[in-house]
Amino acid sequence: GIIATMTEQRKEYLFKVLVIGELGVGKTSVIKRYVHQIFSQHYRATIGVDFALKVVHWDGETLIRLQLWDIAGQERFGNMTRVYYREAVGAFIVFDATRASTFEAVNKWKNDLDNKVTLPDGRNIPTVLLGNKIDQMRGGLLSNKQQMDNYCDEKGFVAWFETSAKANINIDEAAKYLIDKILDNERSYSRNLPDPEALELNKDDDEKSGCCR
Amino acid sequence: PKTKELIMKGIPERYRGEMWMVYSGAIIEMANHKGYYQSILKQCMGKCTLATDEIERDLHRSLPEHPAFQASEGIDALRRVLTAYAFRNPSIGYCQAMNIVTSVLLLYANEEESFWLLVSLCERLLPDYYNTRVVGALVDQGVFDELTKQHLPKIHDKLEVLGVVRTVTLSWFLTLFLCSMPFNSAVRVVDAFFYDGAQVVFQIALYVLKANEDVILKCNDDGEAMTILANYLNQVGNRDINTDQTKLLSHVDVSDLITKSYEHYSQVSSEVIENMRFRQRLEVVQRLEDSATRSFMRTMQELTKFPTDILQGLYFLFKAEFMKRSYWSRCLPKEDKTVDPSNFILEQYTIDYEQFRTIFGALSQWSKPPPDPLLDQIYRLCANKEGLINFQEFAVRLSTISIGDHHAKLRLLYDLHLHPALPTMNENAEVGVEAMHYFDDSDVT
Repeated sequence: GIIATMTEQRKEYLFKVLVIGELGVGKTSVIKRYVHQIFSQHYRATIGVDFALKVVHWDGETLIRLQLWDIAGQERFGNMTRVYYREAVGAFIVFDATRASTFEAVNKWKNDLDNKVTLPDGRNIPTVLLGNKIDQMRGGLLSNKQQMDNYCDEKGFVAWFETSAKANINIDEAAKYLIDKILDNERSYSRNLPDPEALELNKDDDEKSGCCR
Repeated sequence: PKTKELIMKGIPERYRGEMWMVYSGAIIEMANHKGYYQSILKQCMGKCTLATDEIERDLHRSLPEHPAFQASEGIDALRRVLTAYAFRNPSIGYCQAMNIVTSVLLLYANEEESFWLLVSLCERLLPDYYNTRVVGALVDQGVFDELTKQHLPKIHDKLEVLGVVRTVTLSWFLTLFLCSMPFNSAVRVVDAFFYDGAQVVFQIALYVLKANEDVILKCNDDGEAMTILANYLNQVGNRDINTDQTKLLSHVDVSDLITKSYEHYSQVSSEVIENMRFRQRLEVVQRLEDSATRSFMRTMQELTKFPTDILQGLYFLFKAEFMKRSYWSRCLPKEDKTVDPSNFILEQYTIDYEQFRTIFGALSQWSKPPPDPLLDQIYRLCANKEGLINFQEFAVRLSTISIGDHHAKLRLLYDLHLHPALPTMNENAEVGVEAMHYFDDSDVT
């Protein structure tokens, strides 16, 4: 498989990352900017789900294949998110910094995410909050950095960024930050992975304790 | 047969709108409702709703590459048709994908005709597809899954492993391939669709999978499969439109694609699909109900801090009481009009005064039986205008009484004495304000 193939010194990873948020906040634009370094006013509304792949040469030893899943924002498609979220290891929640209502919905998206997907060890997947369309802002909703920091702490975001897909602000930085968090998690698993014998022992224990079937 | 041949070869551009009107039946609807579109426009334009807000955001994201929708004329027409439809049918309102379909309708038909084509699409040809929970589209996803299992078992098993890929077909159905194929090719699918109905979409979707069978079976992950299908559809060309570019790029011609789809899957008739829909529908509705209940329970758990099993027990008890009342008093569950499924549950299941007294009284741990005035006050605090209590109000009060801390209990007692017992402001109320401050302050500390 492609997932975490180890050669002598090169490591390859495949990461599934979700991009979610309200209708028209610029999810598709963020993805196109990051993957193809382009911006256009002419993107169609995403119906259902869309997909893009970016190959990241992280460092000399690490190659990352990043799957970005672009998920439709209209509420009525929310019934399907469980399928889309499956096996994701990270997420961006995007809001439109010029529209307060899209920020209010961030909480809803975060809850939906945390309820439907977790890392193998049960923790929530690392999630970065993006306040997009910052090029259209004078002054700003995000001027109060302390408040945003507190909000992210409280809601369990690993970080937040002011972004603009149009003016190419902070998109790469946000992605780097998220990948870094995902890699941290990935490495902590491989460290904590029990050796095969230990697994056998655990299995025996389970059988002895006789859980009801 | 002659018409069928015409459909296969492609309706000439200038007759396209007329043919769509005839085959969809929209032409009759329009003739029977002269002036309807204009009058509905007058009623709805200028009003702001969630639907108009969502429509506004999507106007420029419908067919952005087409010059007609880069000028205000096209955008305004699109806005009017979508807004008029949302106003006509609140159980659908506006669903993303309608914008894409409608913009194509507008290219071949005038505004009023496009409106009636959209009506026939939403209300007859793609039943329930665009409603507030896209039930019809989910049903057809289920039908398509079943058809894939029958006709392409190997791919079916593979897609089961890959997971997400199964959902890409959703956009094929919702937009009649308009958001997956190049416009000039997809419009030919729309021709066939208006002539033969939804079965065409199933037949083509099946054939698209079949044509990519070998590559899909070799895929390692769902992203790979998504890319393969997206690329394949993106390269479906139309040889009648003579641009060098399409000729160079495309290895599949849309006429061939449609013909082969018909040939291979002629047994996928509208009767077959109708039968399957009937079965899938129950499952889909059940699944939606289950997932709505799950998310509702999560919210309730956060609010009440009751353990899951207790909360579930309470919910079943509550629902049973509701059912009893519906049975005897023929008060049927309200129709589903809210978008948010949690609200839907809240509004649907309610109990009345007598029922509240019975179950709350029996469950309360304060004293048995609790004094009447206390129960009455709690009832007054919880009940809505119609005198009914929903599950949230019920569970939150019960949790305060049973497992809340002293502070929460005191607060509730206080609210009970303050609330409707003293409807007008008087001296007592002023004292009350001070006490309120006391509680609010202690909330902070």
